[in-house]
Amino acid sequence: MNIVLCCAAGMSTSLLVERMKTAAKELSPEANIIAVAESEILQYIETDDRNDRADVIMLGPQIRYKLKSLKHEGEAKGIPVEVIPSVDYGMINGKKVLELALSLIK
Amino acid sequence: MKSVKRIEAVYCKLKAMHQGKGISALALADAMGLSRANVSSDLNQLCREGKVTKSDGRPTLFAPGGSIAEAESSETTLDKLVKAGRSLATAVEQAKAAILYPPRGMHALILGETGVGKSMFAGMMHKYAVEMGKLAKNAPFITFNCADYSNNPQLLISQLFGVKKGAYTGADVDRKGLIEKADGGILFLDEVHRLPAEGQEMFFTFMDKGRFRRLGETEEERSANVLIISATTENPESSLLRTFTRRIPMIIRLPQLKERSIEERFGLILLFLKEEARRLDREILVSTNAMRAFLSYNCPNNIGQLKSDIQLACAKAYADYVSYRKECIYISTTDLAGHVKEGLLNTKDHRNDWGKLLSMKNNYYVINPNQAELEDGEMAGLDNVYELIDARVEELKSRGVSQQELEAIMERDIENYFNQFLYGIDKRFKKSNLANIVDPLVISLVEELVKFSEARLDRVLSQKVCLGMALHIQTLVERRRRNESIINPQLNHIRSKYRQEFNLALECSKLIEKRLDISLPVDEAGFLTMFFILDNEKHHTSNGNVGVIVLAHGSATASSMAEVANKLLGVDYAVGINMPLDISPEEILHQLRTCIGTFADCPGFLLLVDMGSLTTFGSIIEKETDIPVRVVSLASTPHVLEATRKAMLGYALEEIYQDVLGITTFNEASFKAKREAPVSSRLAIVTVCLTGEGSAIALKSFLENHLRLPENLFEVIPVNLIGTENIQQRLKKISEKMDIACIVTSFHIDTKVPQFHIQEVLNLKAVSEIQDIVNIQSTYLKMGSTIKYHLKNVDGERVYTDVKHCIALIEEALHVKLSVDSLIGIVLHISCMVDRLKGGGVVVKYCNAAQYITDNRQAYQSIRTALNYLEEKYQINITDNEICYVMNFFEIKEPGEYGL
Repeated sequence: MNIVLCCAAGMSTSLLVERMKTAAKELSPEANIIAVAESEILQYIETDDRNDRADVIMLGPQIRYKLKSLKHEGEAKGIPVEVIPSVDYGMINGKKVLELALSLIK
Repeated sequence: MKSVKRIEAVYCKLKAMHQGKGISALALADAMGLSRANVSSDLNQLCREGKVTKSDGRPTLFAPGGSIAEAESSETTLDKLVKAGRSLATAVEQAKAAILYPPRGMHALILGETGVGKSMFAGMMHKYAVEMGKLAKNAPFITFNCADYSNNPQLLISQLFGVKKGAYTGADVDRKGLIEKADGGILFLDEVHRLPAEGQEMFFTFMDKGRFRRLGETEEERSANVLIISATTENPESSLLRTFTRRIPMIIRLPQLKERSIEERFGLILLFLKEEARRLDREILVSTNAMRAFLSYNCPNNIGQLKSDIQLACAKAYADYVSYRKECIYISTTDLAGHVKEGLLNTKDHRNDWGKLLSMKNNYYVINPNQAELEDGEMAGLDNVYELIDARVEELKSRGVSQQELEAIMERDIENYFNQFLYGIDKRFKKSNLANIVDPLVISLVEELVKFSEARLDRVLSQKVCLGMALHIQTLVERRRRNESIINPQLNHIRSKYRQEFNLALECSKLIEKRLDISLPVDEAGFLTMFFILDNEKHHTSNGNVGVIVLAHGSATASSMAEVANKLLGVDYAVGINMPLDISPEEILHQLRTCIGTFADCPGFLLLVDMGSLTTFGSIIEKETDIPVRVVSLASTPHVLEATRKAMLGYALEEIYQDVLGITTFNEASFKAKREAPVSSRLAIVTVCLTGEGSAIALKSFLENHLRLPENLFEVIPVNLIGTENIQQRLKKISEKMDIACIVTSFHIDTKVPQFHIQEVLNLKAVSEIQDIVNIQSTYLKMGSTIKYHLKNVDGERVYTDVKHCIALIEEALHVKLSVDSLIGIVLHISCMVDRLKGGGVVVKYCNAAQYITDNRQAYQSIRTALNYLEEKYQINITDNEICYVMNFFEIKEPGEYGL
């Protein structure tokens, strides 16, 4: 299961990714959590290889403006796309974001 | 009939005896005094029913429930209790017997002093009965405290037994009593000795026969199947209880807290702390000393009191946390009630216990709401206080200290260690000994540092240096604890001028970080360097040192303050001038002039005065001598100490002055300043009304009631629309002081700030939306402390402040205002970037960076310039690739899609 976090450079989310991975050990060990840059996100939607394709895409709040278009792209492939709540993002609350991601997949 | 009963008894006994491995029929038969054949057949019957499993092999082992392996993990409530505390073993055995006694259990009386946990124990018995299948899963557990109605026997009886309609005036319906409500379960009667005489007979009948009547009923006799557990603090030999005990064969005595082992007490403390942590859904940190106090204080009201004392401490710590006095919920000795603190005095009785349970080195314990185990930073190693003391004895011995002296020193060390947490600073000055004002941990650290440095420098450091260093590190620790930054403006100068000493200082700094578990910026090494060059006379004679003069009313106040400072620092530096009340200010001024005359080439004077005319002397002297003078009023010993120390080190007058002023802010003031000073980091919700400020104010209180506003962070500001200035101007004025999070108004105001119509607010529609804004804004403001825990190479709070500064510069240059959403992202991004670059991490690439920069020349320039600030401050190199990513954040994109 690929949980893909997307922000401008794929770097500000790296702290969050670490936190989510810690939380995933308990909640969802099979989850593969990665952070990518805005410019790379399309390939995670468009790829036909199920192993590479995102199962859910979480956007950093700073690229909230991308939600509309990415949601559109994602829906075509059945991939939920959502914005990470600013509060969880700012508090680097990995667990909450993971829970949100998991709930979106289901 | 009989065999059915036996099979039940066998099943229950099997469950009671079962400890995971399974039990042979023989063992069970022996334990029950039955024949093996009977037991064996019962067990096989149970096996067929699926209630019991048996193992392969010989002898055949039986286990209740599912498979034997599965059963291993299932432990009953009471078994867990015994595991947690051996002193409860007897009580637990009795409780088990009472519950399992066929056919329906045995009534029990629990004896024990106030607060030993009688109610809790009864509750556990109920749980155990359910676990063992003696009671149905939803079997009632009804608690009744006889003391509640003891002065109204009629009411008590009606509560217990129920009422028939018309039994007395007002009894207009048939009502069930507690006994009926407890049918099929357990009725717990607390303080049973308060059961009035009228109720006793009825109750005894019920206990004997299981039959009773509601109040007012004559005909019908009712029955209920209730197991009675009663409890009392009284001596069971008292008259009532004697009749009671005759009917209740099972008397369970619960031990007092002081009869229980220290491990059990420790377990209880952790349990209660954990409950609080769970309630607050936050980590609770407990200082080792507070933990000691909890373990050792005299707690006459037992576990109940222990629990409430812990709750009180948690509440205090939480209050400090929510009012921003503390960064986290941290319980230190200051949060403890007086009688709890006294626990630290019981050192003799408890020293061994502490040694067993508490490690010395990590300064606190972390109680995590989600974790079962206690986290204990570094339990291993020689880290408890007694081993530390042993080590100190070894060290003193190796210095050739005599046995007698040794004992004296050790006694004082130990005493000081504990006393210093109990008494204020003034008492600590009683002996002019360093250990009186500096944490022994710091002292031992300094001793280690001195040893290490002397070996490296190949010379002996003077006492002055050692003392100075100890005080310095003590203040350092306090500063870090208050999260104040450490900035050394002379860093580069020191680094290049005293290369060898600086390198040594860097290593010392690392050692301090390791030992005290704090993080220090490189600036600190600059300060430490100063200690190593202090003995080189050349250094400070060239600059000259600031004179420190203490002036105070009273015949010996000033001189004794100066004396204390001098003795503590092992110098003769600070000068005290006393002003007895019968001497005129002119006379004192004259004395001051004479005194100043004795200093040669002094670059400045710091006057520490108490009050009155003395505060004006500074400017007089400055005019007369042309030497800069600074005055600190309301001075006390810590001021003198700090001033003397810094002056000795050759600090400039202004630096000393600022630092000494900082001491006033040690306790209350620094927190106040922290809350009030950065005005720009506060937020406003502005309410605008047409008709004067009245309704705006009403709106203000409405908002304050309906929103959760973090205190000291948010302010609701009422404004009226009609006024001398127009609304835009007034909003601008407010935004100079604080950021406006949103506006509540009945008019459209032309601004980018989100606004809500009063109507939406009053009908609560907009409240949750405003709350979201509040939450996001406060998340942003608190990000400094959030990222503090995540960044490895830099101080998170500092980076946060600096990054925010940079962003403001960029915003200004590019004429954009970012949304909070973006701000959170960009702060996180740049902070991580600084941390990454500082730690020598990877440098990211940006596709077509060159093209992107050419296309956005102006943005690039502005951002480059602003980030230069970070480059210099953190000595990192921010590449164009990185800048491109930052530029991304500032691109103006599809405005209006997000409104914040």
